Amino acid sequence: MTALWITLAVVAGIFYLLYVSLIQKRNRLKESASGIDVQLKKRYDLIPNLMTMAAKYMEHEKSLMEEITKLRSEAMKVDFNVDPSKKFELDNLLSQRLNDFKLSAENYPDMKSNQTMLNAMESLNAVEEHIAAARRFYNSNVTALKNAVEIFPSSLIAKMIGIKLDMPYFEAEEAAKKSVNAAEFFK
Amino acid sequence: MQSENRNIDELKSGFETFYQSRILPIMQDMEKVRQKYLRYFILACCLAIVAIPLLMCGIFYFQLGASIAEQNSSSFADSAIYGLVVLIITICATPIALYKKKSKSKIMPLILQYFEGFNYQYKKTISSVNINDTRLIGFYDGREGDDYFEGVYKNVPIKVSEEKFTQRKLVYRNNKPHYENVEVFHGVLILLDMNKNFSGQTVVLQDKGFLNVFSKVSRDLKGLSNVKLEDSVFEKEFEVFASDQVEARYLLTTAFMERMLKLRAAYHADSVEFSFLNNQLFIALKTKENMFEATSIFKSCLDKKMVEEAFMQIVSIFAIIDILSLDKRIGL
Repeated sequence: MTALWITLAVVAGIFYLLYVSLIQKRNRLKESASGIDVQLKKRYDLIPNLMTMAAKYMEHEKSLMEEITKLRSEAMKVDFNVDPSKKFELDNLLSQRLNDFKLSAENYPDMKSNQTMLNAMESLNAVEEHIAAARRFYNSNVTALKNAVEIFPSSLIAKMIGIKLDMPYFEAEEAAKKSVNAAEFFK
Repeated sequence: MQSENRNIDELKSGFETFYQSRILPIMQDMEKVRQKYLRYFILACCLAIVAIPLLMCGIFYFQLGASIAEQNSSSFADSAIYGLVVLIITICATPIALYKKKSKSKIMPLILQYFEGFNYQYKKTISSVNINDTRLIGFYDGREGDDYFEGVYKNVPIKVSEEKFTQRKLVYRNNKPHYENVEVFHGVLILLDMNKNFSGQTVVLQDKGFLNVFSKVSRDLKGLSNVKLEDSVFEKEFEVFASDQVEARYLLTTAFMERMLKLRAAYHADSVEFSFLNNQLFIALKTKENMFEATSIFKSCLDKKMVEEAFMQIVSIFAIIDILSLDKRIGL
């Protein structure tokens, strides 16, 4: 009889630990998702100033700048918690266009010598790096929850308490994966 | 030519001319000083050879007389022999230590003149950072600096010091307890300015497998959580702890992790550990090797091998800036 009670206590203990671990993983994922959101907002705040300053120098890139502004407005409208896939898609597109913008900036030496513009570009680079870091943290949390939800025995508990993986990986688009030599801008 | 504009290969190739024109004439003078101190050393050793048997005889004679009077005299004899050994070692080592101080204070600043704008100080430690805050050294009671130099290489401010940390531990010898200073770290500490701004702390420690538990306790990693990174090779080599998970990934980009692995492979140190704090990078290279020894009382000053070795050690420290690309604000 005692053995039965001990077995039951051990099973309950394991159940509880797995339950706690699952909840922690889900919360960590939510926290990391909001971390991406914070960084994306920083980027949205930077873009208008950057475009206004660049407009004085980059007259031939008007369409590119308009596209960036449009993508920014569209991305801002999408709520991360409602449609994360759409949010990631738009932000990947925005990243690509911003990379194109950085490359185009190479052809404008006057703009490169402007200190305010340099500072703005440095800030943009720093924000982009923070977005990349937040994305890596988010993806690692997606993997952790995905493993917990799919691998036995935690998968069993996940099903029982209704935890499922409803957040996608934040994957960079193929074009965005190509490294951009930002150092060139600061030469 | 400013050293900060020269790359490592240029630094190496230009050193021979610098050695011939600036270092060699001083070394010729130093050779006379070395010979003088070597004579003191030989004299001290000769005195020790004569004094040891005489003093030993004296102790045993005293012990024999005392053992008749009281039984516990052996402890006095033990202490006397121990004290005698320490005294003789001190007498013999004094000329070596004096020469080391004199030669280093002269030669090291001279070698560093080649890099322009570097200051050298004998027996100094990196004091601008609280070493406990870096969490790279475990518990310690004693800290001793050997060589210290600071300057700017490729626009990156750098401070370097060879340091030894000891901890007072209770040890038993002949079943008798006594305290002894045990070395917990010996190696080179390097403080560099980072090319990124950050507010938290990220510590990268050597992965010691199941021994990680002990290193976590001794480093006092309170407030830092384990960071699991996607680079499996890096994960095998290092354990990362950070106050901010996102910031840790901001600092440890995949490219930076690769560079850190390259650095680990390039230095034949026992361990290489990093601490990112206050926009600075603190590196602890643990090694048994005594670094920056440009001269020795037992080797001729005219033999340039030791100077070259010390020069190469300095260059290899500066190469860290190149390996980690700290001179570039590319954000990778």
